[in-house]
Amino acid sequence: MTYPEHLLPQSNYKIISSTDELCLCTLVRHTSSKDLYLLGTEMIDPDKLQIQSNHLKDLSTNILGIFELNDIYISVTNSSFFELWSLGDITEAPLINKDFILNNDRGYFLFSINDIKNLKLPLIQNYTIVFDVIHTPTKCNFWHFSIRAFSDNIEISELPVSNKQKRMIWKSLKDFLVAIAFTNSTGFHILKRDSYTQN
Amino acid sequence: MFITPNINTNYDCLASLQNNDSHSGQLIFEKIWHDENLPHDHFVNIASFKRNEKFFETTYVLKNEELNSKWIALYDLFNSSYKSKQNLFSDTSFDTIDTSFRSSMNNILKLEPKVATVGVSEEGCVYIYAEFKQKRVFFNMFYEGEQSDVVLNITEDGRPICSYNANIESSINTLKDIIGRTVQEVDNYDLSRTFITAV
Repeated sequence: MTYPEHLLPQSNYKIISSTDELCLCTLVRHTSSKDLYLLGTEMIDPDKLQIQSNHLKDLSTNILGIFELNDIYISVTNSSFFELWSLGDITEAPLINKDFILNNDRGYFLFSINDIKNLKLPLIQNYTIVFDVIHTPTKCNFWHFSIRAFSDNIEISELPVSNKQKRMIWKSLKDFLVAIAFTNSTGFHILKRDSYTQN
Repeated sequence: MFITPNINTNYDCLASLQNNDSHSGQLIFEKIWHDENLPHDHFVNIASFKRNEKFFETTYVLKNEELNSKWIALYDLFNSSYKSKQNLFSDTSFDTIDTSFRSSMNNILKLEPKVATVGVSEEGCVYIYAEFKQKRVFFNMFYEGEQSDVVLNITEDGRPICSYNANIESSINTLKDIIGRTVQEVDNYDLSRTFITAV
């Protein structure tokens, strides 16, 4: 098997801006197993979000469209491919069993970008916090997006609060994010080509 | 009329679980029966047990036998979750965590959630998740030494309505307040700055 070419950045691609059209799109987040829910409930387990809480916070996702649901099973194992892609960079495709493997055990859940950007959070530990969705293409996946949380443009990891308060904030953010996550959808908006290609 | 408890556990554990306090010990005697003065699905539970050479007796009215099973199942889940992530609580004794969990669980079950489950989050908190009609509640217990406090996160139809940080008692009271209120009333809740007052 070869690495899906449609995931690779192309030389004429550009960073995807935050636009009204972007808000129509859907993000997919893979999980390590298909077991997504809190025991005996239909609520997604917040720990499935796997946001690192001891350094730069980032929930890694992919925008659906060119990136297809079946692409979540590609597990890149060579971390050099996780480096951010820069405009004009030409990258090589990862090789099966050397740079990536197939992991069919994975599960996934979905977010509407519109839901994330419009999620009105209550004050959390006295902070007004908002989520943002940022295009963060990597060398092996142009369709990679990050969900990040900010208070007055400061990332949560940089807030002047104790580690315990940061953990409280992250738990709250995860609790609220899973409440808008879903697993079924009938269709996805596909970004227009001029959203990601240069003229 | 005597009823044999429909549970598969040791009575010591049951006696401990059914108490708000941290009473536990050797169970001497227990009976569960239907009192004809109570509704048909309510039962009376009396347990006597011995600890540190002293005898204790507890009397409870159980809504039905399922309450026992629910308690045991949730406690077992808490216990196994705690053991699997014990390293997250290195500076807090199990007694502190156990007592706070049982006290909180007792109070939350009294509110008759339609679904309840428990677990330990990677942020280092023990959480109780419960659903009440359209409201979904994460009751997150964080610890610092032998001190515990709660972050209470509530959503309704995916919309965050509360992130409240206080001690267990205050958090339980806030939860009772919110569960007993209509959506409109919650929106107009003005006692806590952590509530969104307009949608």
